[in-house]
Amino acid sequence: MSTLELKNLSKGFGGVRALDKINLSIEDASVYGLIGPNGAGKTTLFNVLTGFIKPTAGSVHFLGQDITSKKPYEIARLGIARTYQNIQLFKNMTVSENVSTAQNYRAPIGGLKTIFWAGGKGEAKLNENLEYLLDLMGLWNKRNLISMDLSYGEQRRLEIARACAMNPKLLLLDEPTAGMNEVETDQLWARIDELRRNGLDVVLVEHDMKLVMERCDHIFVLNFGQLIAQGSPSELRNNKDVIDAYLGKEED
Amino acid sequence: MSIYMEGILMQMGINILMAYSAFIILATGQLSLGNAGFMAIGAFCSGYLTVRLGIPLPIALILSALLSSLVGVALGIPVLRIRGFFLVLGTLGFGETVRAFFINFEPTGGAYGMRGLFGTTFEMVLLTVVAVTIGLWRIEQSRIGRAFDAVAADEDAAQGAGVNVRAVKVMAFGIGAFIAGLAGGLSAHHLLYVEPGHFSFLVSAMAVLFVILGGMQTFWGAMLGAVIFSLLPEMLRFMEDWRLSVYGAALIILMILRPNGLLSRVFLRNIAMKFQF
Repeated sequence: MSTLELKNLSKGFGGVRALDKINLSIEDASVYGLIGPNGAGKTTLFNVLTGFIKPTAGSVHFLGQDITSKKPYEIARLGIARTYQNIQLFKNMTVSENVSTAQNYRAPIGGLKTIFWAGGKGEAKLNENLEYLLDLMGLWNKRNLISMDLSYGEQRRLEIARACAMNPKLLLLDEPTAGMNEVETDQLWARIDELRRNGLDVVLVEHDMKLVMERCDHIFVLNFGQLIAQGSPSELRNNKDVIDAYLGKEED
Repeated sequence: MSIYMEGILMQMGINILMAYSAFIILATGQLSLGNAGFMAIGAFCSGYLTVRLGIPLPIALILSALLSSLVGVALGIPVLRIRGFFLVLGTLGFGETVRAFFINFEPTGGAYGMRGLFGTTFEMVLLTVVAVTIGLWRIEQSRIGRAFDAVAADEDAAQGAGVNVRAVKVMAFGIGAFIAGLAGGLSAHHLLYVEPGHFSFLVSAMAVLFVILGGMQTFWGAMLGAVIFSLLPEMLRFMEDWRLSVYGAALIILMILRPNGLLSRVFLRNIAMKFQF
């Protein structure tokens, strides 16, 4: 069974077709790259997958379940987590509070019990998970800092840690390495690799072509809301449509 | 304790409860200017229960706070679809609607209200304030508190992190209405009568003011704001007719000097750290 399956997914904004009959599926613990020129519909696609925008037509199936009309928080709980193009942390909270907020729905809670008798086995397990994630993202030493005070790269990593705190099956990263230097980028990729080894599917929007070609197992190319090509990096390297989309068409 | 002092402290306790009711809603990033409406429901309902039906005050208080909470939830479900200015106007409209309702509602005396309410003691106010404070403290420490913070910080990111934003907002409204209901019931039985004129828009605005001045990041700020601005008019009494002008000026100066309110979380955290070693 595929993790994610899109059928004829379309979204129009007025006269603009932001997504035009997209069909694609995502399968087994791989890293997928989503590329395309500015305005191709990459972020719109993420917003539709996570329920923030409702599609005009078509359907989204996740682990065999139709999630097209589900609310964002329901989709998040089902296992699709995301980060945002412009970092959207809970600014006034500490690093560890940011992550633990995303664990809330997994916590063994119910009404008054949460307020007066929080704790126990389930809570200990979540704390272990929190420690693992902060450690993986290199933020353990900064866990008590207010998230606003982190550096840019750290904030991006915290967003990923927060997304992973929901224990997702599919992780959508919107330009995770934007604004990072080479060292930071390499470190982040190593961390994404580890997440994948834990059985997570990762889809990421990325502008650095060299990186996408090197690191992704499978690439989707969007242009003007249409999926114009997909395949492994080597298959796409010489694909005429892709070259046209990026470099412009040659006049005959 | 003199009767004068006791009276001031009881009014202060009621103000603290009102500040709490505004705070818990502000804690999710919503602003309600209709809490006087919830207070009115608590006051008239408890008054009706004690005077007309002879139910003991403590039970009447809890029942009427529950009714107020129920109205809060029923109001919250449609009203919390709207955001920002429109929500503020919506809640303002609610407060005035409740007041107008009780002006016309004969079973609770219409515009004249009801007489013969009594029974609020200093201990009762103190106990209520302590109980609600403990409740808020536990909420702030719990995962629910973090969900509140998340909704206040960024609704979209909160949704994306699996937080049911609407449920959190409605819950905050329900809790705020419950606390305001308690405040209304205590206040009515402290003043010995209740009439719709008690629950004007100004009461709601004062509740919000306490929180903004005291600091809206933690319930301690709400409490401090209510304490200081309940005592200030008394302390300024020597200025006689000028005291309200000075009171107003003090508000403005404070807003300029401490725009985040008197107490912030960073401030509390720093104090906590200082005492750790």
